[in-house]
Amino acid sequence: MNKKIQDLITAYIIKINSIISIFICGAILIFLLLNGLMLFKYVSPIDFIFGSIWNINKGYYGILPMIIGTILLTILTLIMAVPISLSCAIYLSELAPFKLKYVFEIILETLTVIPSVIYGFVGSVLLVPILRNDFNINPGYSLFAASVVLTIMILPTITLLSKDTFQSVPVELKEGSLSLGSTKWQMIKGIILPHSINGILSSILLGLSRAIGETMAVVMVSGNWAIIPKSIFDPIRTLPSHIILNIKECAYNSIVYYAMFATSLFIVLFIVVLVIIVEYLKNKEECK
Amino acid sequence: MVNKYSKIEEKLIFFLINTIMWGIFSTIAVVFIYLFINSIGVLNINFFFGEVNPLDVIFGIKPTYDGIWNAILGTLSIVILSLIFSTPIGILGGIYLSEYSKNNLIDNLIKISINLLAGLPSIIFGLFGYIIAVKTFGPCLLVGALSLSIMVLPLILKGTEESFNSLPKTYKFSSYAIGASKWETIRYVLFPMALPNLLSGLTLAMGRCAGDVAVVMFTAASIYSPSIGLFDRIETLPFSLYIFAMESPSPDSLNNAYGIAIILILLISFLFVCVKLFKIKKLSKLTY
Repeated sequence: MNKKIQDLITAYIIKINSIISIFICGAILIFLLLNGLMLFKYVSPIDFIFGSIWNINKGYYGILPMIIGTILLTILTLIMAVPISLSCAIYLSELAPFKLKYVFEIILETLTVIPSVIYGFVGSVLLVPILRNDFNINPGYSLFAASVVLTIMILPTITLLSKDTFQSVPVELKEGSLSLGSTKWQMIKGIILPHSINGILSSILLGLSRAIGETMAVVMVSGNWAIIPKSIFDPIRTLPSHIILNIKECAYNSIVYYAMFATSLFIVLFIVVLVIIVEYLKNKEECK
Repeated sequence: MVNKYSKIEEKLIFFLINTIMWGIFSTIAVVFIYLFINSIGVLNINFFFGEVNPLDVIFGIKPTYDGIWNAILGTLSIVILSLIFSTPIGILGGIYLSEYSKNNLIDNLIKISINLLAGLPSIIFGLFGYIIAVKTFGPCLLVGALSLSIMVLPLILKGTEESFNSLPKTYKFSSYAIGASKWETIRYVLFPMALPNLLSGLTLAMGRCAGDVAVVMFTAASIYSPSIGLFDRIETLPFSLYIFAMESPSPDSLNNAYGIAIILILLISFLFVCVKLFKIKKLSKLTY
């Protein structure tokens, strides 16, 4: 067949497929917006966002506890996950013996495809009873437990992506540093880490966006009390958990139904804010 | 500059990293051993097939009431169906993003919306699917597979775009230089080289389909269903796991949950290992 015609046809097919993808993406976003904004006919935005009581029967539709729960969970998971996964990435790229490295990588890659219910299940039958019986924390379902579960869930992702970034640092830079007499740790601190900041930030963003939207594992270990927590061992409820807990029992076009879509809009807002922060940090590093 | 402090600092930091690394992996090992031990008692032939003769169930002569065979079949069927729907659109759309897109407004908007959709919690796609189900066929395998395919579409798009973008540009330009058309370049040069990384993206998508609870809960799943017809409800392993873990009336039925967890892990690891072996075979052919 004439090559030019073949090119045109395939370009056409590829463009049609991308249009289908865009159409689907747009449909979901419009679906969210339409249903979410309907809520504000019934409840004022200020009451919704800053109200700290969620009680459907009495007409309180405040999701502030859930917003605070999500923010706290994200921060705690960040604090726990980033040092651990960066240490593992440094180990895998610089310190590990060759055969051991291969085994660890395979284990980590398998961990990335394990479904989140399994993490939630293990958390609820292993971690929560340990917290409750051995450490005397009642009820055991808490912000801390949810953070630990989420940390283990996003650890493989951040570790593997950061390891790839570390390994793509040019060898000349690394060997140059060593030849000037620095120790291995000074090389890691001074050459590899600053060079890979962009990759590290991207991997953290990827891990965090999975953690924010994670529904099932968090529902199974976080206790789901719609209150503002006073310590990290208090139960919390996050925005995705809020949706899944309410959507099963609400009527089709009721206020709660619209409130759930508005909650999803909030989650989208969260992720957008996170992406903006990460992009800003990346640009700041590049301008240095 | 190396003084005695930097040597001590290095020894300390490396000790810390080693401890963290081995701590993490021993925790993961302990978790798996715990799951394995608790599920040993449950995994017998009755667990899979109930009280009915296995051969009768496999050939569809008699239904099983208690076993998880239906759940295994249901999980496999929904994963395969949703991959059938999403892979062509995803791969061709990803090729568009990496080969045909320019830096104009529409394409940038497309990239932003795909990034946003990739971070949405799965429950939103569950809601979307629920609305579709209510207005058309009712909750069934077809609607569940469609919702899952919409959920993993951004993953496949991003994975394909990444895998094509990470190829060295020299291959593309050399292929054009010897007279190949754009489609011939993509089909015969770029696609085989991008295939290993593309398969990684597909594996991730497959893992999310297989392990998803929030979407199938609203669109396809039920606690008991003997068939996997396109317009029937189906059982899936993660959904059964969630139901058993959250609402099990006795410690005995909690043991069932351990069994389901182990089977789910084994199933997904098996699929993952198959794809990994295929990747290794392809990569070894591409060494030049």
